[in-house]
Amino acid sequence: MPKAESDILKKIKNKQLRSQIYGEMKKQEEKEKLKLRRERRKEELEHPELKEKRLAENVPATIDSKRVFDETVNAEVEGQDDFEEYFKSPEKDPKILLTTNAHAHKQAYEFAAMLVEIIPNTTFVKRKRQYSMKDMAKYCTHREFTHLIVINEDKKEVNGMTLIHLPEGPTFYFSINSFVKRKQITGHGSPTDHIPELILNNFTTRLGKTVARLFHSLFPHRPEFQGRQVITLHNQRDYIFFRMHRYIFQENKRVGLQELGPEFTLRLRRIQKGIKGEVAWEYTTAMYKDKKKFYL
Amino acid sequence: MKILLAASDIGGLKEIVCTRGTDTSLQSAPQPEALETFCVEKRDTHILHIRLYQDRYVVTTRLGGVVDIYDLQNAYELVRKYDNLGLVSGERFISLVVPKTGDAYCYACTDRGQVFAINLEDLDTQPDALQLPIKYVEGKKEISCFAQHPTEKDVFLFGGKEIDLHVTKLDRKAKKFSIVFKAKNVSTNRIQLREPIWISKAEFVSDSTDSFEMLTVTRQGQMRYYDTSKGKKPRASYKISADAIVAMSLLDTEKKQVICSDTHRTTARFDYSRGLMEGKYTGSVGSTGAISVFRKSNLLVAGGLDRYIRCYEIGSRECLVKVYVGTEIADVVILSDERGKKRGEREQSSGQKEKEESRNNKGDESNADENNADENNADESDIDSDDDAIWHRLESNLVSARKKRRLELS
Repeated sequence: MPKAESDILKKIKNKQLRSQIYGEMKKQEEKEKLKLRRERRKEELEHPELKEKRLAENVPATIDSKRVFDETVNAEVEGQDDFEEYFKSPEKDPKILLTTNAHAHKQAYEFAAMLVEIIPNTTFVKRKRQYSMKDMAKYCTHREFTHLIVINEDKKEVNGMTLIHLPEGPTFYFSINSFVKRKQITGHGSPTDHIPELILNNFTTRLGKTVARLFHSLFPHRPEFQGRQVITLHNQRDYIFFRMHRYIFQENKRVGLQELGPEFTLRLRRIQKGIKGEVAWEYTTAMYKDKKKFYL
Repeated sequence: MKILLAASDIGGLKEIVCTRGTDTSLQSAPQPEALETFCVEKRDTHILHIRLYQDRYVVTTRLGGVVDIYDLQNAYELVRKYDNLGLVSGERFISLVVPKTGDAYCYACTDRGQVFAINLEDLDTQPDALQLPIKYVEGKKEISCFAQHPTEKDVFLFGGKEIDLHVTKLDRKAKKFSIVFKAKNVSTNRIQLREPIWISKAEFVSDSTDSFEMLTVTRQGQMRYYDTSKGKKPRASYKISADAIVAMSLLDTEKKQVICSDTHRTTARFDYSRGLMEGKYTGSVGSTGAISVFRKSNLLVAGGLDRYIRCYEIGSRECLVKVYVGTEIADVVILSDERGKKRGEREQSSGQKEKEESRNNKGDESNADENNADENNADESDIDSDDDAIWHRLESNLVSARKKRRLELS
């Protein structure tokens, strides 16, 4: 607001009047802005090069663009890792065992049912109290499972997920929030049994690549394209967003997308070598003190 | 300085040449002069331990039961590979002992108690396979540490999961170990339950040969001090960490200092006489499995699962070097450091100007100090004189700059 106007406002002692005048001023400002925009839009429709020029010049400064330098971003991945076997043998598809924490509630089972639907070749087993995660990992290895997923539910809310790559780790723990069920999404579709395609977005650092390789190794090698279903895991500022869509290519139009749901957000909390062994990376609040430093 | 590390993702060695202040995370900071890779194999045969033998060889053990000897002076060329040692599948080396002086035998010990004695002066002979006098039970009883006495070359200690601390003596002729000392577990806890035993690392902390003084760290986060002249139980047991301790490096037996690191992110210096933490070496985001002390210039080098090598000054705990190496690190060692070099060596490498300056400095210090056999003292004075030289140069530069300014003003 210009200084002259704010001076006028300051002189008005009646609060109601002041706020009323302030509101009017704001409204006027917005109107002018809108008018300018409309004019610009018209102009740019006639001369598209003007729009290009404007977009090239006005690049907004975002937290992502101001990101702290990280030497591991897009660095070459050296040597092998634990997921080597999956990528080396394209004929062998992953086999996943899914379970929950002990004493789980309805919410955990609902989440599990949803995961069984999404991830192909998944078996759900009800958790027995007497087996620890290490025990379960051992039994799964004997039965040739490649992943063990344990859903964590607390106070009737799903809040985390442990993913163990078998037989030799590593172990990942993600926290889950912003879970939106399929039912809650307006205009949602329902998924088919086809193996979905997978989009892994924006996993750039060495740690990010490890996480991306984990998600990659969860799905069979060859998606069934006729299903036109796609799962997106989009990383932004170390939050991993899960979305599932059905697409359709239309002539002379943008690609049509129908959300299939569910939606949830994952956040990496810990990576351990082996099966719950030494910590390779662990989230602490101090790590995110610098708002422009990201790890994935 | 020159750092050698075992890169486990590529199964080879990496050598870093860098100066103090190097930081790959900062674009404005100096970058490493060289980062070279040698002896690459697969990840499932990666190097577990690196030890140096007399500036001649790099002795390494590999996953899968292989001991490799590389030439330190000749670009890590393979000198000898001992690959038919007959290890069972799943058996792995847990320790490699290379003597500092006086002995040509190095010992590689496995988790099942097999010890291979390799004569480093005669590499053609097949290593002697010895067996430690313990019974291995898979998953329940296994060895996790094996160390040599600092002066008695035939005395060793070992311990592990449900194997309490033992001191053994090697009879070289009979090729047999005999037990000299066997520790006793600590008393039951306050609810009368037996304390589990799982020693992760152990070392002798004194040179005495009549009785042995030892220090152990455990997977339960305890640090224990044993003195065989006083009893079988540990003389002191301190809980120093909530997590399992995985690495230990003795620093100073007089000041009773030791550096330990755990399975999380803590690497810290402890006083083992009191069980107190003296300070942390911060920066790592993952477990630090490899730590090594370079006594000549008082440096600590640490690396682990976060794929960074960090070098700290031990006293001030300042991080001097941080280098991203791209692979997980299994073991690390500092080969050389410019500041830690002896006076003669450095003079040869540096220019003539510096030579004159150091000669000037020589006058200030007593000659007796220089000839002192005690390496530590010599090094300290060396570092001091180095600092003096830098100050001298800086001051002289400032004086000339001031003179120039005055002239310009007038």
